[in-house]
Amino acid sequence: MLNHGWPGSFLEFVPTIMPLTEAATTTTGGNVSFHVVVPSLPGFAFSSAPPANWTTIDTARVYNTLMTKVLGYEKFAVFGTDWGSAPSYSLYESYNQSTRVAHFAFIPFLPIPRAQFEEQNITLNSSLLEFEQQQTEAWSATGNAYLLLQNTKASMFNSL
Amino acid sequence: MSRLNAAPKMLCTPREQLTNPTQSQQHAGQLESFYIKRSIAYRLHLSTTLPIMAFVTAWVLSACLISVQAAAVTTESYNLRPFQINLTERVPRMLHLIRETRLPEKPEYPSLNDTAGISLDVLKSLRQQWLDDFEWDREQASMNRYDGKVVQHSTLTWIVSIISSPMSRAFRSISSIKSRRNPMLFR
Repeated sequence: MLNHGWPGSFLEFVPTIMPLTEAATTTTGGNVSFHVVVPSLPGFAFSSAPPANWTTIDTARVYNTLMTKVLGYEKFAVFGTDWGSAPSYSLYESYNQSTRVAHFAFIPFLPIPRAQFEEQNITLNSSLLEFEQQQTEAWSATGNAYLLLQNTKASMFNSL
Repeated sequence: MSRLNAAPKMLCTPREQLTNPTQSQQHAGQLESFYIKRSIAYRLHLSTTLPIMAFVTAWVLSACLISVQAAAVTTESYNLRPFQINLTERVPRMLHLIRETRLPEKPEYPSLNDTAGISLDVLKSLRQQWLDDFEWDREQASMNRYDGKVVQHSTLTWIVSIISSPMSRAFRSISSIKSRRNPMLFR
């Protein structure tokens, strides 16, 4: 199961689908190929708006039922990127009898503010960590207006 | 998309997980707490990214699909039906709106480039591309190559593409679903 991100759609996976379904060989020499299931996330292209109290955990629940009981996959792997990481993570966390593997290209992970580092005894001890913290701070300062707007003014978008 | 690339990534890279177990455990804890902390934000985000597509969805469902059963259902039901995208008759109106949209002649803050939002030049070129080069029927045919299904769930309706691998044994289960003629209802 491949779960796309925001502001994308199921089309993100068009280049990936056919190679996954074709016969391939693993690094250990095993034969492998996949059935691919690509949902359009709730609220995204062609899929309906979920109720106001719907969460990505609910999405994981119905996806798990879809995969196991409707489509008949007892076990499956999930891939998530960006927003699609949220239901994918929940699938792996809550339904690991069926979701046996999870792979993420991008988990939207917001580190805690720098002001809380001391009380939580956190030190950024590499240039990579420092760089990523700075990226986060820059995004929080000037890059997340879309997120705030959509979080707080949903009705406005519904009227556009 | 470039905004997405600029968004924060996980603090802990796989390499660090291997070399620094204490740190990786700490980060795993952070990750978990992040998901707990963010669950409300996620809920809100989910309920707010949808309005844009809700319009499209209502549009599509009314145009080419099904009448949604509005009855309150206590047990969850999942009903799979074939789904083909067909928005062709809506395209002229969309192109009309794109053509008639009035954009400023020059950017208000040229020195800020795209840090203050999409640049006017980019927006204009995208509009031109949409008007001159965009062929909806070709795009639509491309999307309809895949086996689209609409999943009518008791609470929401969503679209899923199921692409079977001819190489894989589980193919049987997919074939049997395709051959089912009655809606599937189960607890």
